[in-house]
Amino acid sequence: MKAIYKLLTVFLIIGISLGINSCSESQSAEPQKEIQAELTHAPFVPKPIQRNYPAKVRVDMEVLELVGQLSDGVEYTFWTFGGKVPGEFIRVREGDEIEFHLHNHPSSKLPHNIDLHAVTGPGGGAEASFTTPGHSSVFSFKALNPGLYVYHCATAPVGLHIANGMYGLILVEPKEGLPPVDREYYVMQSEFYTEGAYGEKGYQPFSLEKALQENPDYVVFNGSVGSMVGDKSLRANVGERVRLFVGNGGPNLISSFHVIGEIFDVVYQEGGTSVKQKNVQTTLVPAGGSAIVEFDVDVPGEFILVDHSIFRAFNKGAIGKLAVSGPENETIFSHKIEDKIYSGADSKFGSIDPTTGKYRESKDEAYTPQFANQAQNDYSELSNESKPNMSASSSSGNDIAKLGRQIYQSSCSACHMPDGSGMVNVFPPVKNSDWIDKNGKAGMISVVANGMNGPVTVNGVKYNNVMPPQNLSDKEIAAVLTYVYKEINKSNETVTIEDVKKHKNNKQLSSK
Amino acid sequence: MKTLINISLFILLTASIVYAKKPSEHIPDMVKISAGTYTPLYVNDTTDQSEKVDAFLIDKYPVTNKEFLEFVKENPKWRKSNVNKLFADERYLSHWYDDLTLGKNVNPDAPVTNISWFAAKAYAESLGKRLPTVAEWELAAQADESNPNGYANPKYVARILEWYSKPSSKNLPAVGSVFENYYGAYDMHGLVWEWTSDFFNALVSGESRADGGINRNLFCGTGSVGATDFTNYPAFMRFAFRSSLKANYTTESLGFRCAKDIN
Amino acid sequence: MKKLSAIIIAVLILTVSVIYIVATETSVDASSRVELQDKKSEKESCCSSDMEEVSMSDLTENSLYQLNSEWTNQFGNKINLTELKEKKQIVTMIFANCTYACPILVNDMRRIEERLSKEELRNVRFTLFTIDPERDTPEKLKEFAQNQNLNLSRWQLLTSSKSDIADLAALLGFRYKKENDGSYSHSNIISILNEDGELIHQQAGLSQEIEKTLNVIRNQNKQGV
Repeated sequence: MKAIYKLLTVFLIIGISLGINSCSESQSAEPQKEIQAELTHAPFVPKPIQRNYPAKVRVDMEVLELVGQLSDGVEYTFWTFGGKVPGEFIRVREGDEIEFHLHNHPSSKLPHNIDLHAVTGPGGGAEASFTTPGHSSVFSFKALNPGLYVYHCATAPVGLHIANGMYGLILVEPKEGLPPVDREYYVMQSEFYTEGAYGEKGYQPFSLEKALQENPDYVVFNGSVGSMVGDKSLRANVGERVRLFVGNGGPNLISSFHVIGEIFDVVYQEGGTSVKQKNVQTTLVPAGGSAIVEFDVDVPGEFILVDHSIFRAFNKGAIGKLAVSGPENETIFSHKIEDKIYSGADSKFGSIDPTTGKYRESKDEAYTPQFANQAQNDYSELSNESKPNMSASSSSGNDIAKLGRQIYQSSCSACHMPDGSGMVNVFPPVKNSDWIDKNGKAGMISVVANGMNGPVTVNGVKYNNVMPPQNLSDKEIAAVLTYVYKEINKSNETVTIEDVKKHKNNKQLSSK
Repeated sequence: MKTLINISLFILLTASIVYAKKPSEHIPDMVKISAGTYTPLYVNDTTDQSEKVDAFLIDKYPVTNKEFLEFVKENPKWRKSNVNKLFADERYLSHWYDDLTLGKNVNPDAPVTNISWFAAKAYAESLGKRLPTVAEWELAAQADESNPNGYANPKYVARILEWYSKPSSKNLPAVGSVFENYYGAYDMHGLVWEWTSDFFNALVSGESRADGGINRNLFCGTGSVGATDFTNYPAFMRFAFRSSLKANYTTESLGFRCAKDIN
Repeated sequence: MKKLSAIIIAVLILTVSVIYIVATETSVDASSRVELQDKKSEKESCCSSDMEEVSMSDLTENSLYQLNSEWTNQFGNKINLTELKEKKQIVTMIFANCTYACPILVNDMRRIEERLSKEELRNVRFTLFTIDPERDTPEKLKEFAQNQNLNLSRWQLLTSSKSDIADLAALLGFRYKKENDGSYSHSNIISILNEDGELIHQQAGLSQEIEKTLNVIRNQNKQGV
């Protein structure tokens, strides 16, 4: 009996070790079945790889040149991998041996090839895949490194082939696969250079000049303006984890990729596999490079994908949308709770001088609202009169005074000071000024209307500055000068509109 | 009697004048390209970059379907069903219905395409002509409507780029429909690519980014190879196209025209 | 008067027929007024169908010898391309003034020669085609062979017209370009043709591993082809 048990144990051990062997990686020495790769158009990606062994994979990719829509009403000749820009997404596993078949459609005018950044070998496959129109090329490579890689055409002139849309992404999943998520999408940024300006309708040829200057008219996601908006928005539900495979076909610009309203929980920088950055707002995607970002969506709404070089987003088309539906979560984000008035009375800033647009220096110069306490007299006076008369001919003294004060405060006090004392050697006083005594109304009117420059002595102090002509109406000049006389100089002089009309064109007076 | 002799002499004189004019029957279809220099896109930089090209004659128009049909009628070995695969691939004359009938929407005056280098060469030789060399073709193509050197005009280069960028049209229009250049040759750009006798002189590997230097392993050459004008994209595209071809290839957008030495 | 008018009419008819004959003759002239440097097309236009049937009937569809071109060897003897049949041919294209790659290419072919047994060599020949017909006269080719120590019982060097050289190069996928200084830049490819003249293998590059090439030669031998 013991012998039988021994025998059984031996068989058991042999059986187990064989079983272990058949599941282990050592079988990778001979990849077995050939699989036809499933290729998808953006923004969709092929299903995650389920197998845990490397395989022989066949990829069939067709190159087609065609005229398509770059933006509403704008047509462009695209050279494509798979009929659309960006090219189809390829998904394989680390260790796979890929047999690549590149077919150049007979209607193509030009030869094309492919350089996959996932290839270790000269040209990334470019020389091996150089194909005349109406022919196919076959070459094979082994996916040694996992990661998210760009592929593109490398036929001379390379810049033109890329600029016309010949790029896409190939994902080589690491052996252990990527962590499962709920949604995966393919987003590829690129630029287009057209003869016409952004939005100019009709067929647009390529502009070499703009491409050389790296000054594109269009910066878009997935090959056209509006490719991911409206009913083409990406979708997700609250509570899901979203992964974006982001590529940048260039040809020239680097992308600052950001999703408005979301933070990337995890970033596989530059499409690599082990350096992970967390909690990132905006990540760089190099031209000819990639990044993988993941984030959980916690609240519903529209989350906008942009290149945060922001003029590209709003003026050149680098905008896409992720529409998230599901229940709200007020704690995480509440939308607008309240809208109320803010008078500015408690502002820690002063006010803006309406003529210069600049802040006033001190708080004392605070904005005096029209209907605040200070002007209550005027207000009550106003209310006494049945019709406040603002016409030129009959101007009541009070109207003039009020207007005059306002104009003095806004136009004159900055230099001549609120109390009219000016600044020694810089701005002459308008209070108790011997110059005003000497030149009178005529002089004042002339100066206000025409400006003044050159040396002048006032009250024994020398000044040599420039006063610009004031852009005021006759009535306003009358009002402000009356104010200067009455309120600042406490005199009974008034200046009327007729006075202004009489003297304002006399430039001689202002030059004294 | 005297009048009779005079009349006969007069008639014979006219006849000889007419006879003398006859040999130029083919020449009206060809134009003269004056001698010049052409700077190739990729050059050997240890020697003078430009190539001298002697004056020569070139066809005004690309060879048409109608003309090629005449040729295959007289040369059965070049018919679609007879031709050897070494000399023309499976898509040879695929736009023709059969050996001697054009396809339904094919314009007889459109340039013949889907022909190989061997076929084009045979056609040219049957007429006592030959294919132009790359240098000759490029020299003729350098001209725009009014100038032998049209490439100095960036707008002309941009126009060519636009022609090249659009996908080829299934039904090509008749020859003479694009433009006439300074020399009187039509459609050097904008209609079809054209075979040249030495299209295989592009010594580059298909890996265009490595083409800054000649690959000494794959090619024997006396110097390094560099591109002369990085902004002449049309030249790059023609160059790349030629590099991708083998002599028995045919494509929908590849035709040819003939050249001839000036005696 | 009647006699006169009859004579005039006769002369007129004569003139018209002369013009007509002349007109038709000219179009024939043009097609036969072929450049005499190109012997092949002359052959084609005058005797094409007959000649082809005789020499081509036993050539396979993929045989490069269908070119049927005329060549001259280093001794000045005329050789038709079809005469390369019956033996495997290891070929490349060179020019005698080449200072860089051609000697290395020839050396690579010599290495193959050295590795083959006497038995195998009975069925193998080495042929060098020049791409420089202007300078590589038969004498020049003989000199080159002597300089390179080539066994002329197994090696031959051939020249022909520019057109025929271009045709062969095209079939071999061999690229070349004449430089301004008269030298040539060209591919470095050694090609193996089987006994029928079909291209069965190519080795690109210099000083390459010759194992693969040797295997091809030997495997063909084994199949008794």
